[in-house]
Amino acid sequence: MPSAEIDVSPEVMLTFYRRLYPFKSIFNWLNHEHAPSRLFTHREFAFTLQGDVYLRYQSFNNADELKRQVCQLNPTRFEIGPVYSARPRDKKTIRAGALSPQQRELVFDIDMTDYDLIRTCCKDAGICKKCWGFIAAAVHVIDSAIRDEFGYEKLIWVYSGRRGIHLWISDREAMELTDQQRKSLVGWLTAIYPTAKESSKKLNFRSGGKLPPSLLNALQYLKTIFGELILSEQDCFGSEEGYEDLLQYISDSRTVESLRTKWENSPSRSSEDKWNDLLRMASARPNLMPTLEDIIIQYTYPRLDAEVSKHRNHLLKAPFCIHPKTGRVCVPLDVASIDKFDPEGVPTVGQLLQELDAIGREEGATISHSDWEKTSLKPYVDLLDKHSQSLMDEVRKEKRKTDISW
Amino acid sequence: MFKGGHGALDEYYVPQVANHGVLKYPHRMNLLAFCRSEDLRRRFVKAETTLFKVRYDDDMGKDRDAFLDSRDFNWTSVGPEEQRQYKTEFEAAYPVSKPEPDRPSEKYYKVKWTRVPDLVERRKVFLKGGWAYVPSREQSSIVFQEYETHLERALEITARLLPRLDEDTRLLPILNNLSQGFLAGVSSEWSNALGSTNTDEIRAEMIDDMAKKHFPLCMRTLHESLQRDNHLKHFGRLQYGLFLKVVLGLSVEEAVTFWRKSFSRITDDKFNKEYKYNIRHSYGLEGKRANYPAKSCLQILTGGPSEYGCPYRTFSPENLQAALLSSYSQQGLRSADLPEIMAAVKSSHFHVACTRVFEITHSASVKKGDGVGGGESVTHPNQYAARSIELEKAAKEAMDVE
Ligand code: SF4
Ligand SMILES: [Zn+2]
Repeated sequence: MPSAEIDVSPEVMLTFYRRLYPFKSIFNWLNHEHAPSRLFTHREFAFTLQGDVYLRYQSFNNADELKRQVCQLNPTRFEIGPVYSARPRDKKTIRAGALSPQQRELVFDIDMTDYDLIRTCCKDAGICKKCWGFIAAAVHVIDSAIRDEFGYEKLIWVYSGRRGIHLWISDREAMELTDQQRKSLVGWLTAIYPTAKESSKKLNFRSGGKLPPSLLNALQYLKTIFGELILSEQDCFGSEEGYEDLLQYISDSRTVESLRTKWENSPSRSSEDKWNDLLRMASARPNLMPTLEDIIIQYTYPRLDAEVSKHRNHLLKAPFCIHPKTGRVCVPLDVASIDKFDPEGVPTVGQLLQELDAIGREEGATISHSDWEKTSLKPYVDLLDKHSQSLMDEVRKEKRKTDISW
Repeated sequence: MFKGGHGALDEYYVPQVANHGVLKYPHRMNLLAFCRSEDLRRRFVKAETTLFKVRYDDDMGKDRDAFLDSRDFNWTSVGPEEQRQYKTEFEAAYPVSKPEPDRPSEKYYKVKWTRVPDLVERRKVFLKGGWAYVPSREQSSIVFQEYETHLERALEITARLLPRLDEDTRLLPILNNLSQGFLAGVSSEWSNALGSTNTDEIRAEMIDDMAKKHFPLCMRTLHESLQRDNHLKHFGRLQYGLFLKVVLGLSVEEAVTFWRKSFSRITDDKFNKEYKYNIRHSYGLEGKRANYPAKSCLQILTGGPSEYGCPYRTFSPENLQAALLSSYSQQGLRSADLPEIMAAVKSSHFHVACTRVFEITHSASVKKGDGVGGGESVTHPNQYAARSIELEKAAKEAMDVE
């Protein structure tokens, strides 16, 4: 029997939507201004109803309409899609082909699944503070690449509720990227192809022996976390399977043989010891150095689910939904404290309702629609609101500019 | 005809198109004419891109910069300070196989990354703050690529809009004419081969006489205004110069002599400085040494400033009739012939009008309907003149035999 914490029964969900879900904040974030614009009214929402019925092409005029519909259908979760050329809910009545995706936040999905072959602490659906380190590293690399290389600023990271993280980018240019451009951007950011694991063991990040500037930047940072994440916490090369994995990336067979002999004979050598063995060899053979760098990239560079990012019409779970398996809220996260984030510390819907009950008993039952203010959901909603505020400021600035130029 | 009504096309085409001097996208009319079949589209894109490359590599640096800087292309050259700042990054992103220490450092351009998605996808570029920094050695190929892609897209979009335009009966004959003429034009029948059929050396002083006997009205007009004003503006010079070079096989020495004589009001010094180079350039002796093709009717009809366009299209009816009479009455054109010619003009069959004039002025050996040979109508001024010269030669030879 599930504990109260992960109770996601229809009754619980309905109360959550009625009293806690921050519809207004979601509206502001998607709409970029107070008065409803196409960014909201032409936006597709898709609902997953109890019993896994999937309902697409929903759209709404404002936050209240969205809330009314959510409370009526009481979905287990809902997703956000692109801004279309017309209102998605008119799909049946408009000419075929008249409904095409125009704009969409640029989104990324990083999921622990893609790290299953290298993490040693958890398996399958499990996630702990230790393996969150991979996600945190990915967040730092992607966040700074997007800001520094692509010049986008309006980023918000959202915990996916179980073992991954989503990134939503709302800069105007990012919103308007074509599928082709999204594909190119993802290509730029993709270096590891996790599914290709079995086919090719060659590391291939370089052209003409040099790392491209983008990977060079990432490497500077990844070097600083490699020791702690890969060597101490994950102890990736501790087991025979682990160090064999490492050895296959080294092309010089003499080096491989001598290391293998050494490690077979002293099984107690830690990952750190083994890495030091390798470093010592490299100091005698400088041509090994690039290989070491490539290994660092291979073990720590972000592993993206490229398909999510490539298409404007991909649907992605809305922030603040409840993960049906964990009961946890998909909360926005601050990059600055991403390293300290503990997925198991995220409020669950059950916990939030208990908090509400406690307040209810103290204050008498006055239900207001921003009850989240009184719960541990508050800091997360504040984070999104602050982000939306910067989007709105941007729009206002632009409007003023056009006013003056006329 | 293109205003109002077909707003969708304007909306797509106008805001994204840069027109700077000779560097520009083709006229919308051409898009309409050539969008209608896959094959036409492909050939048109190829021909226009080639033409664009020629113009791009030409020495008109100002046009090129204006084009690159325009809102649509938006390439900005990277200043020395920025160039120093990203020196290491440039070196990492664009490794030079053999470093040449004496070589002056390469010039870089920057452009929004969204313009060069291919380079981005393959990580073949340095990105900073949303800008892609591209070395000049890679830039032109990107510009060409962009030009081509844009043209393809414009043609496809036009094709989708065309069913509505097809209903416009006034427009369709023009489109048919244009596209037919084009197919003849790009087959390079007239741009290279015919020049060499003419083996007798043409000298500068012969040109005036040849113009009167052999040139179509567009080139006659250029010739006449050159003689009258002792001057022609840049495009006129380019157009007429290439025509003379190709159709008459005028040597570069004779060309210089011809232009020197025609530009009688300027000093030697000015001529040498400002014009001689361009003449030699158009012969491929300076600059990029490209061999430029002469313009086809299609290009003359639809592109460029109207003063160098096809007179059948650009002249008012009164002026056209006056010009025809003064140009061709010596060759046998009479005012009684004008109504038929003007009727063709009125229905926008400019080629047909020009072809009819050819038939009338060569009535000794050409019947009505023969056109410029085999019933073909005029698609290239070179074709017109070359055929005329050929007929004269044949007539002479026939007399020799007798
Ligand atoms: S139809 Fe062609 S050859 Fe005749 S005048 Fe016009 S452009 Fe010149
Ligand atoms: Zn773990």
